[in-house]
Amino acid sequence: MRTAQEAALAKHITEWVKRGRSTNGVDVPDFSEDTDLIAAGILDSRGFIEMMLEVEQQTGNRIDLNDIDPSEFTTIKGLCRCAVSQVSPC
Amino acid sequence: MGIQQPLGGPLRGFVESMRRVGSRPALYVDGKVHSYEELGRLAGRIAATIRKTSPPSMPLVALLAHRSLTAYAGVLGILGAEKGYVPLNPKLPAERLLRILTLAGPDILIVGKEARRHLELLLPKLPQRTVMICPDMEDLDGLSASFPQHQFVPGSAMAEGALTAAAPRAGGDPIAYLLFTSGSTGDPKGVPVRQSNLAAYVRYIADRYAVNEEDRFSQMFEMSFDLSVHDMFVCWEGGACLYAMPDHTVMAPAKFIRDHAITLWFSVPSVIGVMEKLGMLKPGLFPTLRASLFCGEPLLGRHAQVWQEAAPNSLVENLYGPTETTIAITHYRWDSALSPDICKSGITPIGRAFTGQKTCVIDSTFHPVAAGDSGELCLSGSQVTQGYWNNPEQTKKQFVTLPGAGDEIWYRTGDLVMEDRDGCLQYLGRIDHQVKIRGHRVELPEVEFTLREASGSQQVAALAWPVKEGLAEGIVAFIAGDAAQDVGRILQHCRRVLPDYMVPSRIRFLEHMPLNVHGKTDRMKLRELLKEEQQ
Repeated sequence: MRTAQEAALAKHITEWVKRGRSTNGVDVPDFSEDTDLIAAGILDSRGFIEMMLEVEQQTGNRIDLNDIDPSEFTTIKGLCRCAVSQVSPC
Repeated sequence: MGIQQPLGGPLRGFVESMRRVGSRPALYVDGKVHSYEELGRLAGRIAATIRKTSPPSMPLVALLAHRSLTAYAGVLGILGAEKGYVPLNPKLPAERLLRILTLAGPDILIVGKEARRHLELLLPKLPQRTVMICPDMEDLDGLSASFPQHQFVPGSAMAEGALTAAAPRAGGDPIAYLLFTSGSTGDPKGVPVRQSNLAAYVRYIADRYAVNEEDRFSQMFEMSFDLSVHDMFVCWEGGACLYAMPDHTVMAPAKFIRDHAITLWFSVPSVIGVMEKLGMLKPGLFPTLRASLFCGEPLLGRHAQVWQEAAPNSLVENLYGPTETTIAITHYRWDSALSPDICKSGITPIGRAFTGQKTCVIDSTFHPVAAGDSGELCLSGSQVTQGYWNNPEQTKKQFVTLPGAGDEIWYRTGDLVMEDRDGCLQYLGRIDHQVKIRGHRVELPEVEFTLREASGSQQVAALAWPVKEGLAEGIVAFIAGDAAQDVGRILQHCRRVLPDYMVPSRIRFLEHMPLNVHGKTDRMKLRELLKEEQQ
């Protein structure tokens, strides 16, 4: 079950990614909260780190990614789920 | 330059492992394990199909595939047909792939099903009649009808044949692979690496790390990056298993390393930086690793130490080498007690040449400098290639003889180094406008060439920016003259012709390009402008 906190965070991060991509007037490719942002070429590793930092700043928590399959946290929905459920990530 | 007889070339190791440990795993890809026998069987059929299709006079076959069984069997099959492979990275823009195909001129393309969409983009513009061998595709009638000038061979129509490692004909030294790197004139520059070059590298490295059939190699690099050649051939030389990392694991590979109990790791150093920033590197995290190698860009001492703590049972080595000298040619082993004090500006030394290879540090008159002085690094030995593909002008410039050193050919790296009194080399930077972005070589003049094409302005400049701890993170472009230009259109053009790591992250317009006293672009001034922006 998705919490309201997760949904709000995902909405904020979606807007954040769109804002970052549209700098310089470059078209933003279509993406959703379920899009793998790395595979789709929307974020590179630097962009991903920046997105992580933004998520951590919003939640005030450090996210432990070590035992999580990257396919889960390279989507906005997956990353926000991990971030919100800190005690037992994903 | 003397040619060393390659004795069956780089394929020999795979074929011997197939005989010795044929039922053992050779490749893990797309969630499946393939034995040496299974991989060799498919490679044998690809080799037989190439032999049947292409005359022996054609030296090259292109490979359009990505992290798939076809990709790895394709490499082996092409070498089994006594030809060299030209990797085409499906992630590159179609225009760049077409440019590479035009420059290399192969008459056969091996295509994996994962690249079918990319093939359809290339087909209307292929420069010559081409045979497409598609080992994992059957439904090709539509393409045959749309492109009758080309031939399509589905998997079921491939010839039968066994994979063998033939010794090259007397005096011959076939190309093993042809890679294209960024070129300063707007065209990518082809580097043909011979079988003897690769065999020398593989033998030395497989011995050094005592590779054996219990080992599990990471395979993170794209095939268009020569470090992937290490992964494949060093692994198969020792009968080990290659673990092709899915794209989504490349950026954050900790779980992959642990889940598959990887024993030999090879990546660019910036992977450590990303993992560190994501909080993924913890002491003792990778107990199965026994060798961790880093290459492609400067390795920060701090990163080497963090990795050493995460992989306590592993030796950590910094490898260095340009594509022109076959993958890597010097090494330095990290020592947690001694190395931090030896690092210059926080960067790990590049160490000493592999046994049998040679280094020389020269001044602007091509004479060796004294120990402790800086100069350009030159390399010689059996790993050094013979020159660029169809580019005698660049070859003459970079492959030279040195005064008093006879007719021995030395490759000028363009890297500024300092050799200390113990013979240990320290990397200091570049002497030209080449930079490394995420491990990829980028000639800034090639980016500037594209900016001129896109903007129509002759006054353009590309700068590596930001540079943090000596590592370039991206490129910023400057265009002088017309401030009313459409930034989006210029960047779209760059995206169409350049790999993503060469596309500027942004463009800044200037009324006039600042010039130095020699009338050249004042790059110091441009850097100052970028620094001011940050404040």
